[in-house]
Amino acid sequence: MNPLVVSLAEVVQMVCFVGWGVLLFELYLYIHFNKFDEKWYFPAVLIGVPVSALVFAITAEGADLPGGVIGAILAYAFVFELFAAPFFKYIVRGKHSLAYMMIAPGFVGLALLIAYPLVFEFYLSFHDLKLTTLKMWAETGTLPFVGFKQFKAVFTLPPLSEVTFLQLLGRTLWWTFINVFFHVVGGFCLALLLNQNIGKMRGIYRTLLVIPWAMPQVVAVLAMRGEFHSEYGFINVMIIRLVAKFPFLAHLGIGPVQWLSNHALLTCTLINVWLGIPFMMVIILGGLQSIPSSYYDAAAIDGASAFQRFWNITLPLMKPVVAPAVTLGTVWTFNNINVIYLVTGQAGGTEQADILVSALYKAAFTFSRYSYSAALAVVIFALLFVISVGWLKFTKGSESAYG
Amino acid sequence: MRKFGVLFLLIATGALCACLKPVKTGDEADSIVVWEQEDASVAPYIDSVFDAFKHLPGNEKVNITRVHYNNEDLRQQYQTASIAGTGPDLIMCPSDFGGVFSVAGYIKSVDGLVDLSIYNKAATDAVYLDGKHWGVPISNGNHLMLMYNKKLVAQPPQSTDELFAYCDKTVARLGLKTCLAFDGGEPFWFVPWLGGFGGWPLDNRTPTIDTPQMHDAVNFYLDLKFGRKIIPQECDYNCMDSLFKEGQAPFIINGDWSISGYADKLGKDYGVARIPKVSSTGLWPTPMVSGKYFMLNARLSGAKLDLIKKLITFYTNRDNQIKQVKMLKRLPALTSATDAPEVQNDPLLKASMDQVLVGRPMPMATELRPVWDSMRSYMGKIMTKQMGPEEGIKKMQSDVDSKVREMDR
Repeated sequence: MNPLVVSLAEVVQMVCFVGWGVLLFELYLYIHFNKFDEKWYFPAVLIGVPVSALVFAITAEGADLPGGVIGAILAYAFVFELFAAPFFKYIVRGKHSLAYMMIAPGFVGLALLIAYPLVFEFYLSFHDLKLTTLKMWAETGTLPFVGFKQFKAVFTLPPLSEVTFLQLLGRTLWWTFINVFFHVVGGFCLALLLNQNIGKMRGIYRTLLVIPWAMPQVVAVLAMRGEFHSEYGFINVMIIRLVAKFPFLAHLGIGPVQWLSNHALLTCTLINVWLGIPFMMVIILGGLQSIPSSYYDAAAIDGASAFQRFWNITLPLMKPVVAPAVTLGTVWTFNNINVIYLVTGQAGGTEQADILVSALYKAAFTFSRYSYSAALAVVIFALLFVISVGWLKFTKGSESAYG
Repeated sequence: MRKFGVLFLLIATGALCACLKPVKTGDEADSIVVWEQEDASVAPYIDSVFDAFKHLPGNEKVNITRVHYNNEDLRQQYQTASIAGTGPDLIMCPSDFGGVFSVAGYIKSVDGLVDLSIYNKAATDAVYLDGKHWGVPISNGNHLMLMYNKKLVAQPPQSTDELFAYCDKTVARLGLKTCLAFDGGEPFWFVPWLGGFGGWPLDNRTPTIDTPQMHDAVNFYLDLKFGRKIIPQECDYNCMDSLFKEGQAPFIINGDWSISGYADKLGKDYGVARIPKVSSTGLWPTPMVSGKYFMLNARLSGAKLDLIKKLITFYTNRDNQIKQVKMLKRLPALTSATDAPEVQNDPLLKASMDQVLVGRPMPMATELRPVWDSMRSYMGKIMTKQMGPEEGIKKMQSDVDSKVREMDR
């Protein structure tokens, strides 16, 4: 069969499968929320739920399920329903049924995609999964329990070769600050320019400025990486030509630079700043356009200068827009493995540009230190959680500007 | 009415799921997924053999999907896929992948599956670890050698002094960008020079980094870059490849995987020779020699495994080994193909074999993995002068030791 047809059929099957699961789940909730007072409620759900679970499993895995698995599915679903059915009948009693039914699929999806990996990450961080225990894990499903050993190792052993956790943390915080700072400043400046009355060209300018953000990041980063090549890159070619044209520049120490070898972190920062400004620009431009012009008109009548209008109207009203965007930008930049990975190469590199997450990735998938990396990921998660909550509380960014 | 609508929707989507089920082909016995890390010029050859296999009687339904990765990507992607319990059925890779993959249980031993006695012993020995063989050889070699452009070089240099003399005289005169195109950041390219100073990164399973030979080799490497300036200041694989193909560098050190591509590009102007002898020691550089291998996913069994065995046997039969010699200029792994006139009379293959004679087998020990990782990191620091060679080598040894201890093998 044509591979394209097969692929399309697989996609359709997957969509149908997910749709069917959601329908079954909604039906389950509908009966438990709305039919709990019917006489047939208990017998119907105690028989229907295990049978539905089995049908769902057969659809997913095929009709050749082993007898033990079939028995386990029926037994687990029955026991689950023994508790769930009375819970819905005597405690929930149909309260907020529509709201729960609306959010339930999203909740289950999030639980599967986020909660499960998170729990597994915690599990790994207290065990010892590495190259030499992978086989044991595959064969027995168990791993040696090591308590807090991996967490201790995070603070005592370098994730890669030399740079310690604290050095990486310092570098990551610096990288995040510099990037977000230039994203916001650059984005703000461009948004203010685009918010001026510049006629029909505004749409074209905006489109051109958004291109770095709109194109796939891999393509954008690899293209820019080429531009920073010491011999063939645009940057050095420009420097060489400038120096040839204006020889006094050479006396000032200006000349071609080995960007990728000697200034890897700076190169990554320049590329990431270029990539990140359009996002901030779009967000801030949206915020600027939502400020009623009457505020500026009133300020102008009162004789406020352009700076005073910016300081007393624009900035305060932009805070609810900028604060969440900065929070998002901070988390994205803190966790930005793409730029570092693609610029410095995937195979270890020289560590000079690695930040916490790129070191984590390399520790796991280059050096096979899976549990160590899981513990490092837990520490990074805790750090980001504290920083994000602290930032939102500090800036009161989630509060409305208009009261 | 609404209830019937919901019921209909439930039944319809469920039925659709069930009906579409058979089109899932991932685990079907006649569908094979192969991942490889070959040079782009090798892909047509691989595809041609796979196509020929599909046209054999009884193989009409066989479907083979080839997926290309870069060397490191293949290792990491296969590792990640294996942890998730998936991954391709077959991988085509150098022998050193087998060390890590066998210990982690990602690949299946080939003992008892394929008759290994028909292959060159050196090739099968390179995938022997812990009492088992972990791969079926496709070709012999996978080694680095000196390649040169005959338009620019009359006779390849026999020693480093001759190489330096040529570079000093000729590069500036001809306006070339560099003399020796070279991937200085990749440790695989460093190892031959280490051998040229009498060193080797592993002694059985013990990493031997902090040795006088290593110091000499690193200083020699630094001299190539900063003293004599005969290698590019910043150059990865693609960069060195372009320099040589575009005639901007008279020499390149590259592996046997690139021979066919350069032969096509440069034609009769393309020459292959041994990497020149290190004049100060009188020793030939010793590139690692192994080959390319089929390695089998550990979860293979039943009919799929039988089909894979047939594919491997077909891929490495005498006809295909000779076809490989003609198209890729690679040394065969099958003993019966080694004496074929196509092998014996080809000047490029003869030169390639000449390099193999002074090479050393690539160790399959798992300990080679931390050696590569550490060497890549510290050599990078040394070669960008962020760290002195003395300090870098000491730290390299200590880092490798620490990673080997952590493996707890």
